[in-house]
Amino acid sequence: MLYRALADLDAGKRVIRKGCVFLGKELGESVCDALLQRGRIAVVSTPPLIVLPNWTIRAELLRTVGIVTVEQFLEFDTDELAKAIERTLEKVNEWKKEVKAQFVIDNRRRSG
Amino acid sequence: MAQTTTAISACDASIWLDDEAGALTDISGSSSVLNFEFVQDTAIVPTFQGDWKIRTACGRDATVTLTAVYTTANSEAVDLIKDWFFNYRGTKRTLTFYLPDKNVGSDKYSGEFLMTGFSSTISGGTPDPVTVEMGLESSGAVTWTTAAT
Repeated sequence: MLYRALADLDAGKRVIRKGCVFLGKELGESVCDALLQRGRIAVVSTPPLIVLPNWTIRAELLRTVGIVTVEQFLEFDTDELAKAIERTLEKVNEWKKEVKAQFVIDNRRRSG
Repeated sequence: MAQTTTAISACDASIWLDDEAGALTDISGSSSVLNFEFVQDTAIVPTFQGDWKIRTACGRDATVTLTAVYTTANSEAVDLIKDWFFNYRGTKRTLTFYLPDKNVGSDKYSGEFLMTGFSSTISGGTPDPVTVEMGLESSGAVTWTTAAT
């Protein structure tokens, strides 16, 4: 499942910043359940890849391996996916980063 | 507005301080009070024809006062305080504390601090446990995050 951080989350070696999205498996589902209960994260409903701007061709390609939604894409093993669609690992990682970035909300208030 | 159901007490707060090796050590069981204060520098912007003051803001700062119970065991709060003051003058240490407890979802405050000193009053006429008060001032950013591990 995909979540959005509603506060800065201290995950030990890294901090997931408020507004960023992350996969449940990054923290573990039991941790996510506890954070949900405290209102520190929210579930993100993801649309089909095809509706994302400039993703038509990539969405068609990913559909050939059964990936339709953003969540399915992010959760799919990167190595396995790169082999299946005959793209480099770097390229798949770049796409995942691009998709994630579309769901980040930078809601920090700044002075000025 | 509905009355809150999430008020906390400090009973299960968790306080951690670096030892001489830089390892965060749980001193919750040998300390009893932690006072923290976060401040932001502000200044008034004077203008003509303005009766309401306007302000700008800049630097932030944190100070902490920790009250520890005077114990004789190694690696408890007072042992760390004494060692830090007498053997590691001028060094910074990490102080981290969790509210309401050290569980997933709790508030975590953490930063590097310098000790300004420690003090205690001892009296032969009272059975009360001896306590020690240590002053700390932040050096660099103090962070506020949600514990997610």
